[in-house]
Amino acid sequence: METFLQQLINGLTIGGFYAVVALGYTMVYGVLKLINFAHGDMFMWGTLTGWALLTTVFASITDLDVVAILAASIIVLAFIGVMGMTIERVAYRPLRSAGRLSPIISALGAAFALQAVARNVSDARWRTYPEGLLAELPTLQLTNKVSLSGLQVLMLVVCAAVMVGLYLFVQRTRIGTAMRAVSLDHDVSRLMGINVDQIIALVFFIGPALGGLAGLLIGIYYGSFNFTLGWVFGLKAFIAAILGGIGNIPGAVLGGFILGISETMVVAYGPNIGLADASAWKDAIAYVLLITILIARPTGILGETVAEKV
Amino acid sequence: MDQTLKRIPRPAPWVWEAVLLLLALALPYMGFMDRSRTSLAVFAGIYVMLGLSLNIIVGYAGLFQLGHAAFFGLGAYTAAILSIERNITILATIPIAALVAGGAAILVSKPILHLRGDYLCIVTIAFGEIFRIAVTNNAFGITGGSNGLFGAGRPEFPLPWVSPVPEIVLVIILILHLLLTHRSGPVLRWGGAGLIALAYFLLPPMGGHDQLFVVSMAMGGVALAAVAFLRERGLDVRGQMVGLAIVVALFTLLVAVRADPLATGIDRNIDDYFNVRDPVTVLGVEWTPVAFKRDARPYYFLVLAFIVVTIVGMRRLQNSRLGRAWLYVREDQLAAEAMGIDTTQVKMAAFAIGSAWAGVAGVLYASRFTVVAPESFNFLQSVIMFCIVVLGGSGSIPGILVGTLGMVVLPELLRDVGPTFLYEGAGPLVIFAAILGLYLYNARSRIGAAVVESGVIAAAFVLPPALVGEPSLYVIGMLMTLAAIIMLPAFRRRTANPLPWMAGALAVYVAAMVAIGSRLGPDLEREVLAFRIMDWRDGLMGVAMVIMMVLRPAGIIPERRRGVVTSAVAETTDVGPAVAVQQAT
Repeated sequence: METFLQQLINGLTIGGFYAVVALGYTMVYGVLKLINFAHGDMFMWGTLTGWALLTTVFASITDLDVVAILAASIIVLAFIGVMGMTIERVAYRPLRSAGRLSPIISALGAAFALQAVARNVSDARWRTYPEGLLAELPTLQLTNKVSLSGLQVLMLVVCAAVMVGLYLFVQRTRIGTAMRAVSLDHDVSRLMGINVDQIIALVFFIGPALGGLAGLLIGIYYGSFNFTLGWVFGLKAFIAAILGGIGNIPGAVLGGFILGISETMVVAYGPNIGLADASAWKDAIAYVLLITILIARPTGILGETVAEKV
Repeated sequence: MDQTLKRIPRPAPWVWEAVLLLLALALPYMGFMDRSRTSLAVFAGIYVMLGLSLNIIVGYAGLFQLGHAAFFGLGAYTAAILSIERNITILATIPIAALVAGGAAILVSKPILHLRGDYLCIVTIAFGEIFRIAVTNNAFGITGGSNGLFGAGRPEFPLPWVSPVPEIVLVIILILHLLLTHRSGPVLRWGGAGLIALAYFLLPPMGGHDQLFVVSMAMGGVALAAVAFLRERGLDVRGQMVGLAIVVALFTLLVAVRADPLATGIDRNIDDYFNVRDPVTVLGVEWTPVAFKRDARPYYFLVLAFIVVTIVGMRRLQNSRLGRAWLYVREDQLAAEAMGIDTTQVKMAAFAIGSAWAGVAGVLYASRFTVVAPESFNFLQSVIMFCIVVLGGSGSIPGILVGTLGMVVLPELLRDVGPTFLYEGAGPLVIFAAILGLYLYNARSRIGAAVVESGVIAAAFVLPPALVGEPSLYVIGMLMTLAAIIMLPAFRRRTANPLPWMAGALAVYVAAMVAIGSRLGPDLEREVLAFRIMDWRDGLMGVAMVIMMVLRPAGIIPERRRGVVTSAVAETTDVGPAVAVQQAT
C-alpha cells in the first residue's frame, strides 16, 4: 500500500508534466487541426535554455536559487513562446490551405531542425542541471515510507496553476472566447471580426511557452537531459491529449495524469505480473493505451461525440 | 503567325522512360561509380521500392502512414529468421515475408481504419514504435535484441544452364507470352511461342556453349517486352509478330557472330561476382546454387529488376478497378461510399498491398546487408519514406525517384563533400545555379523581370567575395539569396514593383560586406572548416522539408490526376466541420 501511494505520487508528478505539454498540443490541434510535431522539441528547448541560463548567467546566484529559477522561467517562457510564433509564421502559415499532408511534413521538418540545433548546442551529450537546486524545500513525510518532496509539491502546484489559469483564460476572457471561436470555424470567426492570424499566433505563443516552462521544470526534476528528450516526451504528451479527448483542456490534463500514473505503476508492479524487464517496455505503454482508447472510444475520455458535417 | 509552328514537339513519355531505363542499366559501368557509390545506389533502390510501396497507402489511398518502417522491418526480420534458423534460401522467403507484413497490416489496420487522418497518423507512429521496442527487447526471443540478427543469407539462384533450369525458365516465358497475347489470334499466340521456344533451344548448340542459355533467356525477356511495348504503342498483331521476329533474329545473329566471347564473358562474370556452390538436391532434382558475393553490382541489377516490376505493377494497379476506387476514396470518401465502394475494404487493401511490398523490400535489405538491427527500422526511417512520397509529389511515380534522390542519395553524397566545397572550385557555381534555378522555377516572373531579378541575385552572390577577396563570403551570399527567394513572394504581394527594394537591400548588403568582410572572412572560414555536415544532416533535411513544402506544397512532381474528382467538397472537409472535437468514427 505504501509503495502504491509513493508510486501514485511519482506518477502524478510525471503526469503533471505530460499534462502541461499536452495542453500545447491540444490548443494547436484545436485551432489548426494540425499535429504540431515541433512541440515536443520546443519543450526540450525549454530544458536546454533553462540549463544554459542556470549554468551560465544565473550560476553565480545559487544561494537564492528561487530568484534564479524565477528569472530563468520568465526568460524561457518568452523565448520559447517567440520560437513557437516564429515556427508558425515560417513553417505553418504558408501551408494553411495546402491540404493535410504538407503541414505534417513541414512540422516534422521544423522538429528535425530544432533537434539538430539543440544537438550541436549541447554537443550531443547528456547535460546536467546544477546540483542542489531548491534543495532546501522541506520534504513532506506522510508516513514512514511515503514522502512528498518539496520539489514534487512545487511541480504539482505549478502544473495545477498553469492548467487552471489556462482553463479560466480560455473560458472566461474575450480572447479565450475568440480562441474557441477560431477552433470552431476560421471563416465565420473572421466574419465576426476576429483576427484569426493573431489568435493563431497567440496560441502558438502560449502553448510552446507553457511547454518550455514544463521543460525547465523537468530539467530541474530529473537533473539531466539530452537533445532527444523532446521527441519521445512530446509524442507521449500528444497521446495524453488524445486519451483525454483532443481539443479539450480538462481532457489533456486527465490524459496526462492517466499516462503518468500508468507508466510508473507498470514499471513498479510489472515484475509482479510477469513482466520481468518492465522498464524496457515502459515506452510502449503509452502506445498501447493510445490504441486501446482509439478502438474503444475514438473521441477520447472527455471528448464529445459530434457527428461530422460535410 | 500560326502558333503551332512555334511549338517544339515534345518526345512521348515512353522515350523518357526508355532513356531512363537505359541510363539505369548503364549506371554501374560509368566511371564515377566506385564501390561505395554502387552500394549507395543499391540502398537508394531499396528506398525507391519502399517509396513506391508507401505511395499506394499515402499517394493512392490518401491515408497517413508514419510507421512504414515497421513493415519493412517485419519483412527483413522474417527473411533473416527464416534464413538463419531454417536455412531457407533468402529469395524464397519473399512470399512469406510479404504475407507476414501484409497480414500484420491487415491485423493492425482493421480496428483503426475508420479513424480520421490525424488519428491514423499518430496510431501508425505508435505501431512503428511498438515494433521497434519489441524487437529491441528481443520479443519472443527470436529478434536478437538491440544488436539484431547476423548472418542472413545472400541471394542464391540455380546455375542457369544446368537442366532443368533452362526448361523451367522457358515454361515461364511461354506462360507469360500466352497471357500477354491471349486475345491476339493464333499466329502471334502459337506461332510466336513456337518461334521463341525454337530459338531458345537452338541458340546454345548453335554457338557451341551451354552458357548461351543465358542469352536465350535474355532473348525471351526482350521478346516479351517488345511485344508488350508494341501493343502498348497501338501496333496490330502483324506488327507485334514482326517485332518479335526481329528480336529473335537479332539474338540469333549475335550468337552466330560472337558466341565464344559471349560464353567467356558469362563465365568471367560468374567468377567475378558469384560463388558457385556444391550441388544440392531439392524436390528430387539436383541444382547447382550460385550465390551473390559481397560486391554491390549484382544487387544493383536485382533491385533494379524489382523496381521495374514494381513500377509496371503500380501503373496497372493505378488504373485498375481498385486503383480508381482508391482515387475516389482519397478525393471524397463520402461520395465514394455513396457510389457503393466499401471504403474500409478498399483502404485495407491499400494498407495490405503497400505493407506486403515493403516486406519484399525488407527481404532485399536483409539479403544485401545480412545484418538486421532495430535502428534500421526506427521512426526516422518511416519519416524518410513518408518524405520521399510527399516531397516528390504524393501519388506520382517520377516524384518518388526524385524524392529518393533528395532524401537518401543527396545526404550520402554530401558526406563525401568537404565543407570547403561551399566556396572553392566549382562549388559556388553549382550552388548558385541551384539557387537561381529554384528561384526561376518558383517565382514564375515575366522574362524581363526574371532577367533583372536574376541579375540582382547574381550580384548579391558574386560581389562581396569578389570585392573583398575572401571566398568564404560566398557562404553568406548563399544564405542571403536563399532568404531573399523565400521572402520574395510575400514581398511581391505587398508592392507591385519589388525591384527598387531589392536593389536597395543589395546595396546595403554589399556595402556592409565591403566594410566588415575582410575581418569576417577568416572567422567564417574557420567556422566553415569546423562544420561537420553529418552533425547537421537531420537539421538540414528538416529545413529543406519546410522550404520545399512552403514553396511547393503538392511536391516536386505532382501527380497529374490529383483533384480530378472533386476539389470543392474536399476543401470543405479540409477546413473541418464546425466542431473542435470531431467524431473520429
